Amino acid sequence: MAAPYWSLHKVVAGMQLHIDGSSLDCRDEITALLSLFPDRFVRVGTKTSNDMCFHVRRSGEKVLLLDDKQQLYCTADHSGDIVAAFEWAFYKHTLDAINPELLSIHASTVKVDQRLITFAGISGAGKSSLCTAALLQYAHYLTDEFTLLDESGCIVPFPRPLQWGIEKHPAFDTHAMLASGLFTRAFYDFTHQHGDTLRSWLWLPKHIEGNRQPADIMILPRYDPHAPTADIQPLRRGQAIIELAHLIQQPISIATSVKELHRRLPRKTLFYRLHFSSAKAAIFLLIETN
Amino acid sequence: MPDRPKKIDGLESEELEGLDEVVYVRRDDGSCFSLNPTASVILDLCNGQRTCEDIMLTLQEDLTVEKEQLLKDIEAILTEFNEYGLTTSS
Repeated sequence: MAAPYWSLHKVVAGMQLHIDGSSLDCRDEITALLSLFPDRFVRVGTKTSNDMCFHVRRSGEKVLLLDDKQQLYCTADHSGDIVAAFEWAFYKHTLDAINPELLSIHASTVKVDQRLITFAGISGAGKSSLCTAALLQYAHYLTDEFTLLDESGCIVPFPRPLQWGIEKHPAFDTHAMLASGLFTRAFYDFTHQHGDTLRSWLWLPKHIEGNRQPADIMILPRYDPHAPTADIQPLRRGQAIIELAHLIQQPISIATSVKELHRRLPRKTLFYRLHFSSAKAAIFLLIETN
Repeated sequence: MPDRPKKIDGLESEELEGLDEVVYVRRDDGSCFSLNPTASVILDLCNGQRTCEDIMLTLQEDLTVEKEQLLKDIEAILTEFNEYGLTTSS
C-alpha cells in the first residue's frame, strides 16, 4: 500500500490513535478536531500498534472512511460528511475501549486554581457555557461532554473541541472570545439528515490541562433565564451520586453506576447544585465559594 | 397502606459505604430512592407476609423507642413506600 498523504498520531485517554488519508480530503478538519490531544511521536518507517486506527481514502467521486481492518466504515460524496462520521466513530470507539477502566460522565471539566471543577448535566443544563466562562477566566481545559473518571477518582483529560452549531453563541461575544487570545476557531461543513448543509464550529481553548487529577468539585448546573444571576447550594453526596448515575455515557445499569461512582469519587469531593442565568456570574460565585 | 406490604420486584440496592445510606434503583425505569439504614431494613422486611406490627416487633429489640411511637413511625414509612411505589399489597 502506498504511503499515506497525511497522518496523525495522537494519545487519547492513554490509548494510541492513528488516522491517515490518501489525499487532502478531511485533513485540515480532522487535524483541527484532534489538535488538542497530545501528539505521539512515531519514527518514520517503524510499525506501530494502535488502539484506534482510521483511514480516509478517495475512490473516484466518493470519500471513504475505513477502520483498522480496512473495512468500510462509511462512504460519502462530501469530505465534511466523512469528518462527521469520523467524529462519531472516534467518540464511540473511545467510550467502548475505556470501559470499564474509565467511567465517562456527560460533563465538562476545567481546572481553576489547581482544583478541578466538573459541570455535569443533560444537554441544555449549561455545561459548555460554564466551561467557556471559566476558560475566559484563564482556567485550564480538560474536556467538554466526556469527563473520564478512573478507578482512583482522577479525571483523565479528553480535550475535544467545544462545539456549537451556530457562529454566534447566545451567551458570549465571539469576537471578544477570539480577541482574548484564549481560543482559536475552526469549522467543518456536513450534510444534515434533512439534506441541508450545517456548519460545526470548533472552539479550541489555548490552555489545556494534560495531567489527570482527583475530582475536587462536582456541580450539577441548571440554566434558567428567569433565575437570579447565580445561586449555589451544597448537595449531599448520596443525592449527587444518584443524579450523576443517570449521566454515565456507557451501557451500564444505574445501580452499577451508583456503586462505581461512590467507589471512585474521593470522599473529599464537594457537590453543589447551581441555578444560574449568567454563566460569568456563576463562575465568579464558584471561585468565591471555593 | 397495604396490610402486608411487599417490596416490589426489580429493585436493586447499593449501600453507600460510609454514608449511612442505601440507594434503591428500579430496574424498569432507572428511578432511584435513597433510604437511611433503618428505612432500608424496614423495606427489606416487607415480604408480603409481615404486618406493620410484625415489623415493629422485629425492630423493637434493636431500637430504644416506645412501642406505640415505633408503630406510628413504621406506619408512616410504609405509607411513603406505598406512595412511591416501592411496595405493593401481597
